[in-house]
Amino acid sequence: MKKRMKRLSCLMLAGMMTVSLLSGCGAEEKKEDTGGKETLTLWMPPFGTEESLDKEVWENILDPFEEEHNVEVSVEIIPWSNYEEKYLTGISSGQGPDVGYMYMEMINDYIESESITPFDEYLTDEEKDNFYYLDKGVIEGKQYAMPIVVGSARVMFYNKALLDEAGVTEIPQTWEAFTDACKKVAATGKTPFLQQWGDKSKGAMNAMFFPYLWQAGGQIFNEDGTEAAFNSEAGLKAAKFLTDLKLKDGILPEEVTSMSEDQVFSEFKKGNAAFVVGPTNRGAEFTEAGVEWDYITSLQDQQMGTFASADSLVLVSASKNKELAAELVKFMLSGPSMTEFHKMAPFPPIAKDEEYNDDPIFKGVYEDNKDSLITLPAVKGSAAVYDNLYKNLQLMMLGELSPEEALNNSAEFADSTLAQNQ
Amino acid sequence: MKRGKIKNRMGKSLYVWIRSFLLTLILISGVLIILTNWMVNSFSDEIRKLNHRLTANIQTGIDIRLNDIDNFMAQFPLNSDNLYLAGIHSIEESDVEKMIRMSTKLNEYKLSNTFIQDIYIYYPKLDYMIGDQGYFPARQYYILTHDQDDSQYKKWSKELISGQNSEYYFQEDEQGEVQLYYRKWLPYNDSGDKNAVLTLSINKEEVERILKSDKYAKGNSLNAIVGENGTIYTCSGNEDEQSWIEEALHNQEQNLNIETKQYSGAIQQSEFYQLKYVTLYDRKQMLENSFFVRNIAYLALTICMILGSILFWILGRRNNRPIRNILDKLYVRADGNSGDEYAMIQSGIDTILANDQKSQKKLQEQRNVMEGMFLHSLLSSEERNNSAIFAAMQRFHLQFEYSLFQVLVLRSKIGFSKDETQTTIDRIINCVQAEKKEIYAIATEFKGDIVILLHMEMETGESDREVLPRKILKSVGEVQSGIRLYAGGTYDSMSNIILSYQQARLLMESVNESKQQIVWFTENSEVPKEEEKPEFGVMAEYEMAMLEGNYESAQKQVDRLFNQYIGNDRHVFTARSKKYAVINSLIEAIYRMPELGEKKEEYITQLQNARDNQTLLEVIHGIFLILIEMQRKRQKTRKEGCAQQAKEYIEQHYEDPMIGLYSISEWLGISNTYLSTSFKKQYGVGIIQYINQLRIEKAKRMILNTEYSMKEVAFRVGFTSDMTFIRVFKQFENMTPGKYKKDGTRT
Repeated sequence: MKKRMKRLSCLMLAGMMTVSLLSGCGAEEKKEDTGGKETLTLWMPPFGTEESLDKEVWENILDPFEEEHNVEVSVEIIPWSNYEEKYLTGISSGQGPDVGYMYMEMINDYIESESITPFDEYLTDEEKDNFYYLDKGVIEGKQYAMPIVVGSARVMFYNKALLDEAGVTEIPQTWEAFTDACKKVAATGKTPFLQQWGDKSKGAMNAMFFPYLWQAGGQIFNEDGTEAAFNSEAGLKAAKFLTDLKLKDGILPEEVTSMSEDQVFSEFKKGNAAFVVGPTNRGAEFTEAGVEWDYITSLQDQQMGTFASADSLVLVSASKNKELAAELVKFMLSGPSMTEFHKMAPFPPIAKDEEYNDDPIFKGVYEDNKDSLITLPAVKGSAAVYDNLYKNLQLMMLGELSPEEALNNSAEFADSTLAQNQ
Repeated sequence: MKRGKIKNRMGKSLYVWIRSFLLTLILISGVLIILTNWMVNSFSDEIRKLNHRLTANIQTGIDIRLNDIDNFMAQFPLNSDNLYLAGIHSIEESDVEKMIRMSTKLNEYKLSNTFIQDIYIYYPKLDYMIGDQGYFPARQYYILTHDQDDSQYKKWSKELISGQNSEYYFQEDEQGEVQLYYRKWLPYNDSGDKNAVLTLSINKEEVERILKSDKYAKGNSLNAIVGENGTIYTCSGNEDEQSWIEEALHNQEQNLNIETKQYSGAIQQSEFYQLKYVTLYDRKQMLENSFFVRNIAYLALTICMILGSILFWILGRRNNRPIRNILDKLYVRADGNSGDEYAMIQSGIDTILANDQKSQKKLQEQRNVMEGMFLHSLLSSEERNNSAIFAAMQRFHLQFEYSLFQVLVLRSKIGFSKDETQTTIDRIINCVQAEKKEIYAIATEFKGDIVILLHMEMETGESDREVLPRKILKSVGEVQSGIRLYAGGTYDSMSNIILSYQQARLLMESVNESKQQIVWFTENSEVPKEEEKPEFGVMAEYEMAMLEGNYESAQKQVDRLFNQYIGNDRHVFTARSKKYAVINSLIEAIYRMPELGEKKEEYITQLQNARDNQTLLEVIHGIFLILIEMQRKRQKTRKEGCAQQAKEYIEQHYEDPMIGLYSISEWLGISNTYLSTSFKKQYGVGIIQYINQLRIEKAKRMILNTEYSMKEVAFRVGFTSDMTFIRVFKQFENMTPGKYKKDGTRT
């Protein structure tokens, strides 16, 4: 009897164990449900070589901020393809971020719809004084954007070994010299030049078309942004220069119409291409890949000219806690955060409280060739125009459309779209 | 050798142990299995419900979005730009602005609805396409949207204008992935001309996002959208198990819930379209938690079993030890080779009990004999002196607890044979014992009669006292008929036992011819008066009375003393001596009465100054009256605290073996009856009970704290023999003093 009692108590103990286990599980699940914390959403584009790396870097940077403000910052990395769409649909449907990253040509549409809020009231004079490029974020007199990545100039990288092999002793500066040099490289059986015409993002034009348009002395839009200007003589010259490189001289291989930016750089890293155009921050990768490279800021026709970005953080109006979101922006732009960020993506510093961490080789670009760096104009509706232009240019590079057709088609569209800006 | 044999016989107890162990095991396992099964079942039930709800959620979520698109598109044919574009016959006629507007509109719509991947309208007559990507000739548009690759263009353009109006359909794209498309003809005229076809492709990622919003789908579940023909459009979750979907769809008929060994799930039909939403859960993984809990329970049970077994083993061994001991001791008597220890123990215990009963009976018989001997000797010695009787009692190890005595005499005309005597005595004692009242009987054969001494408590009422003799007579009537019972008077002093006996005998002689079977002694009984005592006896009686302090009876003798004892003596000298003897006793009595104080001398002087016998007699009577008065007063005060005094006396004199009700009442100068009653009234126990109790308490201490033998202890606490001590000890402690010592020293 005693024994049975003992056994029974054992069993009861076991029962209690299981019950407590069950309740333990339950409690755990509950914990997950109730965060209780406030959350901020941050949308950033990818800068690292892999998406996950970006997320990790930002989460590490933001850890102290989360702790200090007892807030959870959810970082989403938005791929460059469909970047604008994602913002457009996200913000218009109210599912956008609290803080976003936009390039200049995007911003105008959001100011128009009052979807983003200026930072003025959240900034002290002292803070303002700290930043180098704050003026680039001022639109219509208000600080709508806080520049985070300024620079990222699209320079022309070249593989010294390939040029040496092809006997190109002098680095080409003009279009003609460039074509000649490319022909020499082609003669060695190597690919002289690559462009990412298959890239989904219309931003590819920043490296592939706009620099040549500017070098030929052209502009994208007229002064007041009401009409297309890319279909000018200069524009046509640039378009012809590019189509000739592919269709006439065979310098650009067939595959370029389906190549993405990553594929292009990967070829360069493998040492298969002599010239590519890309942002300065990719230089480190090439070094890492063991390519013996150098660069020129840009080719020159009528003038030098290439694209430089002025990308900014914006404060989305729909944010439930704008003050905290503004704090987040300031924290992200602070010296320590930017130092960390620039370890992943080497850009020149944006504020006085950070050292120059970019490859010193590019210091010249941002100092000596400063004038040849051009940002895209902030024109309302420009995104749609670029979209249309990019497609027409893609068809042009395929040989589906002549340069004239392509540019005129786009201009037709652009004029019709920009007419509302008058 | 013996042990070995016994060990072999442990069969049954071992069997009983194992059986109870197994039964418990089976019972607990059964309960546990039922419980865990119930738990797992209710878990799966919950999951099934949840599953169904989730599937319904997914269905609603996606259906609504698809239906939205359908609804929006229903208005599209009426769009003026579209009407215009559908109406013209060549691209040259077209208006760019209208195309831009259309394209912008489509793009805006696409942006406003995350479900839309691509949207475009094909105008077959113009071979032109307008979509969210812009407006281009159909082939160019195709190239732009298909990675600059036009190899599939022809097939694609053919498919554009086939199929149904307003429908969702699945089609593989260039990568061989199944995509969901929506098609609408706009406007569609009766002649069958399709002058515009709107096509949109659904953003698969968005659909997958909704599927993934099922938070419970963490690798163990599978959400899928399936077309009418069983094409799996997309699924999220555990994609390794896609074959389940096919299997589930194949087996599913009407039942929307699917349940197999591997998985459970639900299928929901889209409300609007030919789509099915399937959710499947890997039962094993989903029930992992409950299985885990169940396993823990099993583990706990196993541990309990192991611990229980160890405990079982230890307890079994421990419990077996006494059994083995008992068996060792009983083995000689235990019979058979049954191997059933319990039966063996049972029979052993039965034997012991029977023996015990036998020895008890023998003991009782011996006691009866002893008591009979005591009564016999008392009757033959005609002893009336209390102390002498008490001494005899001690000699025979007897204790009289009660206060009243009565003698009954049984007489048979034909006498009792030896056997009959024994039987009769046994019956009488049994009969009295059966009463279970505070009556004790001692019986013996005396002068051919059977004499019974009834010893009882005051409370034993008159009626009981009358009923008992009848019962005795009835019980002995079976031995011999014609027995008569003569009952002497009831007295509260041992000294009157003889008197009671004599009264009974006198009754026998005087009412010999009576028809009555029972003859009672009463005050009026016609019994011969006591013979006049010889005159020399008067002085002795006087002296005895004076010694006992019985002044009343002494006073009664005084007249006779003077008339017969002193008056008859002619010799002056001896007469004077006799007179002085009487006076001296009185003077002694006066000295024993300290309450008299100063008056003592005065009385003595009075005695001395009494010249003639007449004056002396008067003085003596006067002094007696004072003495009697004094004595009464003293008794009265004594009576008041007698119980307390008795208790104190006992506490001081418990080691005196002569102490008892009679010695104490004598010392207190009050009657047995009074002391017995008042003591019981005050302390709740009889006086003898109390004495014994006290002696046992003292004995217990002595046993534990000294090395005295039992005999020594018995004498030291006032028992006359160790036998009596052991008997009384057992009565109080339910164990022998020896066992008490053993237990006490162990703890």
